Amino acid sequence: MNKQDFFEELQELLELDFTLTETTVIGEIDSLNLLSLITFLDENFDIQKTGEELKSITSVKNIIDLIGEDSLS
Amino acid sequence: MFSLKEKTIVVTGASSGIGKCTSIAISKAGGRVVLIGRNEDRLIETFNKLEGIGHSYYTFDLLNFSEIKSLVSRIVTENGKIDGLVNSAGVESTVPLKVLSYKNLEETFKINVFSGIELTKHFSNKKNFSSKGSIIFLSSVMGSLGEKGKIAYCGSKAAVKNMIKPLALELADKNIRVNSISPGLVMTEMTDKLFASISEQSSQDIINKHPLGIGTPNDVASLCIYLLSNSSRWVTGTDIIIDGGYSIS
Ligand SMILES: NC(=O)c1ccc[n+]([C@@H]2O[C@H](COP(=O)([O-])OP(=O)(O)OC[C@H]3O[C@@H](n4cnc5c(N)ncnc54)[C@H](OP(=O)(O)O)[C@@H]3O)[C@@H](O)[C@H]2O)c1
Repeated sequence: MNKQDFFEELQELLELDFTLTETTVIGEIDSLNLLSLITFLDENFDIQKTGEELKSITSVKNIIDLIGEDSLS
Repeated sequence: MFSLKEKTIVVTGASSGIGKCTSIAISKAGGRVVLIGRNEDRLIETFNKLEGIGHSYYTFDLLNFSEIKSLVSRIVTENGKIDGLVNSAGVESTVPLKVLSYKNLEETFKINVFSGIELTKHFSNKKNFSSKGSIIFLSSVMGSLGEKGKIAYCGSKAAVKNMIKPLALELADKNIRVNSISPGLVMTEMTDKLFASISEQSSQDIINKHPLGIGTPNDVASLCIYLLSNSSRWVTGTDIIIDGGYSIS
């Protein structure tokens, strides 16, 4: 997945009504969206995380750090 | 304790949790157990804990739907006719609607629902089943209730607890009883997986909803032994809730 597709998919996943960039602060993610994020990371990047581990995510940068820049070609 | 002497019982999901504990309890009640699961090491672990002799195990992926018929033939050829089947293999799925894929739905239903029907279809054939016996499906309180993200799981468990009714009617002529069990939260690997996907607070909230606390696999195994035994000869087509009071609170 390239970076642009990633921003768009993440925006749709979290149902945000603003465009995402690398520096966007999302704020606290609610529990249902955290469950969606778990599936998104697993299916697209083969990353398995628990709800507890993702709880502290508040920005796009936090998620990119998890995935690794290299995975977003 | 109810006796299962002279009975051969097949248990799916025997490598873990409720299936594992039920297999051990069957052996303690005098029954012979045929274990089914994918993970051979964990099946052997269960096998080594069985009491008595004559038990066997088969590694099999229940997603291999088209091979279930030949698995059943092999089991009956090698172990004789069976007297009971416990469908305990199951998968948990916590996936919210917006990321729920057909693949996830299909896999959940294939293991939680379709594989049990297919096993029942072939085992209940006169040449494979003793003149009377008992078949158990593991449903869940989630078959009647709801939790966010549990569309596939709740749907599959609701299917289980109702499909046993026509199955029980169809198989009554053969003296085969069919029932389901709906447990509340039982501490197994499945629960570990569920707790890993939600926050600690949500996990605690679920635990707190069980007035008698959460269950152990043994609690469910004891009910399975009753349903497999002749003592439950008049019980069929019913779903039994065992949940420490979860669904009444
Ligand atoms: N634990 C609970 O709180 C709870 C509550 C209500 C209902 N239930 C139901 O009770 C049943 C047993 O649950 P559990 O907690 O004991 O689960 P568990 O510890 O996770 O064990 C699941 C079992 O299913 C087997 N399995 C999964 N996929 C399979 C496949 N494709 N082919 C063959 N076997 C497969 C696993 O075997 P391998 O890993 O060897 O493949 C394992 O033995 C399930 O139907 C579950 O939905 C559980």
